[in-house]
Amino acid sequence: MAFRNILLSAIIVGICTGLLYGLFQHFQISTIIYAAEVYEVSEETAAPHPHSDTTTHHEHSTEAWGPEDGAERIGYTIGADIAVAIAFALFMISLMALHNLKANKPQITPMTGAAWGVASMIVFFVAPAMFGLHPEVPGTEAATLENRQGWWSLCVALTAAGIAVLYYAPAKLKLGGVVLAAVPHLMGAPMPEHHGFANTDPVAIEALTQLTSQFYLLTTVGMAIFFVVLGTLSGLAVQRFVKLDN
Amino acid sequence: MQSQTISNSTEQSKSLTLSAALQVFSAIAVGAALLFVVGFAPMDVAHNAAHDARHSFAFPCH
Repeated sequence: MAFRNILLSAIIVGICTGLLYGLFQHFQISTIIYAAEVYEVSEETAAPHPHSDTTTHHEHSTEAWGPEDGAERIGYTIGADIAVAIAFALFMISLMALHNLKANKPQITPMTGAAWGVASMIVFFVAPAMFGLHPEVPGTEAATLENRQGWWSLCVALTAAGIAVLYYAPAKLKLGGVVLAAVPHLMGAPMPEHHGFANTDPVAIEALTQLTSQFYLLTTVGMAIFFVVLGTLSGLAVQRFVKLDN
Repeated sequence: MQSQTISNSTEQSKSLTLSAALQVFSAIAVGAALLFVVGFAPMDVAHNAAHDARHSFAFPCH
C-alpha cells in the first residue's frame, strides 16, 4: 500500500518540520507581523483585517471568527504551518517515490532529499516570492489578491516543471526547462498601482519599511531551514518506508 | 510454459504501473487540496486562522 505509506510518512515529516518552523516563526517572524499590525489603518481605507480591531469600534455586526491574540493565535499559526508542511511533504514524498520507480538516476537518500529540499525552496519561495511577489508584512499595498494567487500558482507550476525538465530531460531539451521557468517572470508578477503601505503617516512608513526588510530576511532564513529539513526527512522516509510497486 | 509466465507477469506489471501512477496522483491531489484550504481559501475564517502562516510562507495574502 504505497499510498498509505506516502500519507503516513508525509504526516510525520510534516508534523516534525511544521512544528520546527512554527517555533522559528513564533520567536523570529510573528513578532514582526504583530509589530506591523500596530500601524494598520481602519477598514475604510485598507483591506479588511481581523486582528487590528479586536478591541474596539468595529462597525460590522457580522465579524468573521478569528483566533484570539495570544496562545490561541499562536496555536492556529503552528497548526497551519504543520498543515502546509504536510501538503509539501505529500508532493515531495510521492514524487520521490515516482523518481525511485521510474527515473534512470540514483535512488533517493536523505542527502539527495536535502537537494530536493533546495529545489523545493526555489519552486515555492525563490521563484514566486524573491523574484516576484516579495514577502510582505500586513498593511502593504498589493495588487488584487486573486491575480496574485493565480500568478503564484502559475509560477510554482512552471518552475517545478522547468526544474524537472532540466534534471530529467535529455541534454538537447534541457534549455526548455529554463524557458518554462522564465515564462512567469517575462509576464511579470501583478503589482499594485503604487507601492507602499496603507498607512501614509511618515513615521509608520519608516517603521514598516524597516519591518519589511527584517521580515524578508527572516522568512528567507526560515524557508531555507524549513525546506532543507523537509527534504532531508522526506528522503529518509522514502528510503525507509515508501516503495511504489512496478 | 515459460512464455505463459512472461506474458502473465507483463500483464500484472501493466495494471500495477497504472496503480502506482494513480497513487502518486492521489497523494499530490490531497496535498494540493490541503495547501489550498490553509494557504489560499478566500473564506474569512480560513484566512484568519492561518493568517500568520500565510504571511510567513510568503503566500499572497489580503
